[in-house]
Amino acid sequence: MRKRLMIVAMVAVPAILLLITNLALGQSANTLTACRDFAFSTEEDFITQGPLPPDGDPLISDGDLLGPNHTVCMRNNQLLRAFQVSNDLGLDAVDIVDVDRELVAFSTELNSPFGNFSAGDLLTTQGAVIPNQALMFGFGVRGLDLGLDGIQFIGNVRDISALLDEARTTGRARYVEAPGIFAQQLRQHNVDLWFTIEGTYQIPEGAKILDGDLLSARDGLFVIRIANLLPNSVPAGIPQRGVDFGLDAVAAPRNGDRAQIRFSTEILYTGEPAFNDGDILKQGGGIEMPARDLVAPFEPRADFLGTDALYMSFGTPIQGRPSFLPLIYRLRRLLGL
Amino acid sequence: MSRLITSLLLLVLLGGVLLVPSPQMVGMAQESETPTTSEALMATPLDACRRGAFSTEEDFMMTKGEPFDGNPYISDGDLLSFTGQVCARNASLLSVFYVGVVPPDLGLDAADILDFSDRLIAFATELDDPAGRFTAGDLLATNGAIIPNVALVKPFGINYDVGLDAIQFMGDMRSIINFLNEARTIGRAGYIRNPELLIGQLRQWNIDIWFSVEGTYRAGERSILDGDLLSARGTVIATNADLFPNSVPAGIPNRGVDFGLDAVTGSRSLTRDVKDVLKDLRFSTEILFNGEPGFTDGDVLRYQDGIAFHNRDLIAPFYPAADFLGLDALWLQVDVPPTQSPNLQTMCGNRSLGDFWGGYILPDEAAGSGLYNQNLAVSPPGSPPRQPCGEYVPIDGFLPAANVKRFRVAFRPAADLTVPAVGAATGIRTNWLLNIWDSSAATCLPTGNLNTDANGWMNAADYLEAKAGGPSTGWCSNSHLRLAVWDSANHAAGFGPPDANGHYRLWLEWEDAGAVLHREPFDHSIQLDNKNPTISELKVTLADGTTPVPACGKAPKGSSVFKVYARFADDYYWGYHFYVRGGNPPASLSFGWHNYYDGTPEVVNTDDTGTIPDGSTVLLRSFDLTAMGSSFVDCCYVLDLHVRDASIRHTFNGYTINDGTGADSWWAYSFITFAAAP
Repeated sequence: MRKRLMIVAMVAVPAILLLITNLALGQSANTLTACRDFAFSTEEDFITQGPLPPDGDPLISDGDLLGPNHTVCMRNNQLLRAFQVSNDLGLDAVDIVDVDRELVAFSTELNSPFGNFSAGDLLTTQGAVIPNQALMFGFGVRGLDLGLDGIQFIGNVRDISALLDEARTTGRARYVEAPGIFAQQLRQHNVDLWFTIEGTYQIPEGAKILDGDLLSARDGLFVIRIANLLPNSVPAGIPQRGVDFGLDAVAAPRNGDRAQIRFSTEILYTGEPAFNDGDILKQGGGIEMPARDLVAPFEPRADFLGTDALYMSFGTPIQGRPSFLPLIYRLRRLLGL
Repeated sequence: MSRLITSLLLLVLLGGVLLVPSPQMVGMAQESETPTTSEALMATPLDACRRGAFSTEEDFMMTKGEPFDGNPYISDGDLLSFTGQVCARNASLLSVFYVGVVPPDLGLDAADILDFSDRLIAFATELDDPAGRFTAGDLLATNGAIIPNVALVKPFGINYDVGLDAIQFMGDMRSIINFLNEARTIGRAGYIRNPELLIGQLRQWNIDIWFSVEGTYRAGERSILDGDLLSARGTVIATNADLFPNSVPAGIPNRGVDFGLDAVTGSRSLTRDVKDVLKDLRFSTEILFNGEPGFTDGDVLRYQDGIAFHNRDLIAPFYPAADFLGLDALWLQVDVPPTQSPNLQTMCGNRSLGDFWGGYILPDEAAGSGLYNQNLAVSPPGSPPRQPCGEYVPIDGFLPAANVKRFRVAFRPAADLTVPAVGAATGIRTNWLLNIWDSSAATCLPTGNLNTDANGWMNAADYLEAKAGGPSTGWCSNSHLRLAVWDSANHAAGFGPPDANGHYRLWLEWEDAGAVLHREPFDHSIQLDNKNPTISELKVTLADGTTPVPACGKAPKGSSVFKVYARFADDYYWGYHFYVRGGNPPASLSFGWHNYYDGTPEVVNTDDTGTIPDGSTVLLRSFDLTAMGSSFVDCCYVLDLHVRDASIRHTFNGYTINDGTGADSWWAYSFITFAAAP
């Protein structure tokens, strides 16, 4: 009994201390920690009727990175700080690579006002810009920006971070000049980028890439096609079953386990199993989380706001994190902090 | 040395290979030097979109049928009709920008069809031009004009590309076309250099561009939502909140949610009050709403008034495997065709074709109900209830301004989607009495005649002269003339339709001076009804509702309250009315009209086909004879029941056309007598 009390005290005291510290500092230290396990963005702006975000602004933009429990993890302008863009450009895809480094990969809805990136480019909070052409190089696409709708890095976090550091050094201009080097860098760092695009593309004498397909930037291959993401009863996939449902957001474990892919579509489906375009779906069928549950903690006036970007940790340990932090995080979450 | 030469040759060859541009690169390098409408666009069946057009959010396959080019693959960049046709492939829309090469599919995010003959369409793409000549936020036109996004949003203080989600040109069409020709000349670079140029042009041409953006813009207290309807002249035409009824939490910050504005279409009128024009607005949102009134982000919504078209109905003619595909661009023929175009404008008297379901349909499009609803064009489904047409049906419209030799109004069954050759269908025959100068009476008297031939053809010169007055009429005018008056009840053999209660489609045909036959681009659906209601039973009971007071029967003394039961029916029932007459001195009580749609307790047992359940005798209402006052004495009484239908009926004697809708000539009548005493 005494031993158990000791353990509880060992865990609880640092936790309380950390809580107090965080409360004292507000959330200015690293608000991204609240999105360590899960994050998303909506399709449209709304006013939260729940607790005010730390910055006191009840307006939630479709460019903000949101977490569980009515958390605004990063405002759009925080995401874009490295690019010195203060306008809200929306948030179309996200992957939180390293919470402690505040390293987030993402894409926007709009092009940069300064012309230094497009809505189809992959960006990072550290300032890397990987142009859309570099992502599509493996598919034989040249010169086209087909948009970027969902992203998921596969591999070891350290390797992904190193890749993104290198990407920042490489710079957009170099990728535009030689788009093939990104795939090489992915191979060198033993990582991959899974992603989806906004448009469609007919590979000459090859398959048609749909915006519902999940693609590999490293291999220039389909990771999984929309027909395989959804159950057979859904008429997904062209030309066989008949409809491209699109892939608006995607998340997967870093080990690349396709069976655990989670995603949302561009359009709803009224057949069986029915879903709407904001629900988080499981690969092969079923709703992981209805759209209304995503936004419910914000108590919006409407129960559907769409899902544009999605990140999930899948319980993968994040390197460099002290082992007691998950417990503290859960405790904070239990307490609603 | 030879190795060196070989190596150099290889290098040159390799360099040549690397430098040879791919077809797409060729497309990117091209400048749009040819500003004329491309042949590719001219070859598309754009006319199929005269009724309306849209694009979906996602690609799909047609599971039945095929579009004009035989390819059942439908892209979210294609412009689609309401009849299952692809009016223009994405490549055709973009062809002016990709001369000589196949353009990539860049999606279709907004569309406004401006001129069918010249194939002039304004639109926006989902993706940027690979060569950087335009962005997905720019307004494009099929004549090659590019108006950059920054020029559109500059009046709002926005100096970057915030995307473009919906567009609607406003104003006179000729001015819009002139403006777009001018815009093509200015070029994108010209607007980038001087974004303010656009607003000056809009003022100069007295036109406007209504649009919505993709992103949200905030500067201090000012905020532009992607759900707001904006004017390129720098005003917010309607906020997102304005677009919806109060029950929808639309608008930021007050009601709480930005629903977006993904597609918009409406009247182009700049002369009407903006509030009136907005009533014609149709739009779709970015996100669905689960409350009341619920809608999806693919439904076409009415301004502040729920769903006009469900997404499933829009896409059904394409037989997709799913019943929802979203909606990204929308154009509807909201304004009636311009008056200078030859076309029919009114049926059943002066009732606008826009107020008929199927009033403007393509010749091979399903006909709708053909029923008239007052104000349908403004606010479907219109003020209740629906009305068919019967007896004489006046039909009017516009003839070509010149060079017309003869004309007629032709018809065929509404269900017949096979478009006959011009001149091959049956024409409506009309015989007119004309005012002719009578020198003995020194006045114009209806003594002349002007008749169509047996196929309904009217000599245009004779008609126009008679209408305006000319030598042939002794300069007497005949302003009562219409293009046709249809004897729908077949009062004169051979003048009416095969079925006096049938559903037909009408259209205008004419022959020009060169003996070439023409027809207007639309059909007009009309439901006829020349059948009167039938009353099968009428009875009166005591107040208990069960004790009958038989015809000529006597109610117990002291009974003053009675109930009326009846059974009647009509395909297009409207209402009932009854009198109770009798007493001493004679008096009467009048009850009704009780029209089935008026929501009063007296109509709960009726619907649009009469009493319900169909074929049942049901309670209509009660009455109290004490309302007769001192006239209520021991006496005989008679109850007269009238039942009328909804049909719009005109009379016609060859000269005068009178609207007799609702006149007692076509009422069903029944009566019952009984005795009662206070």
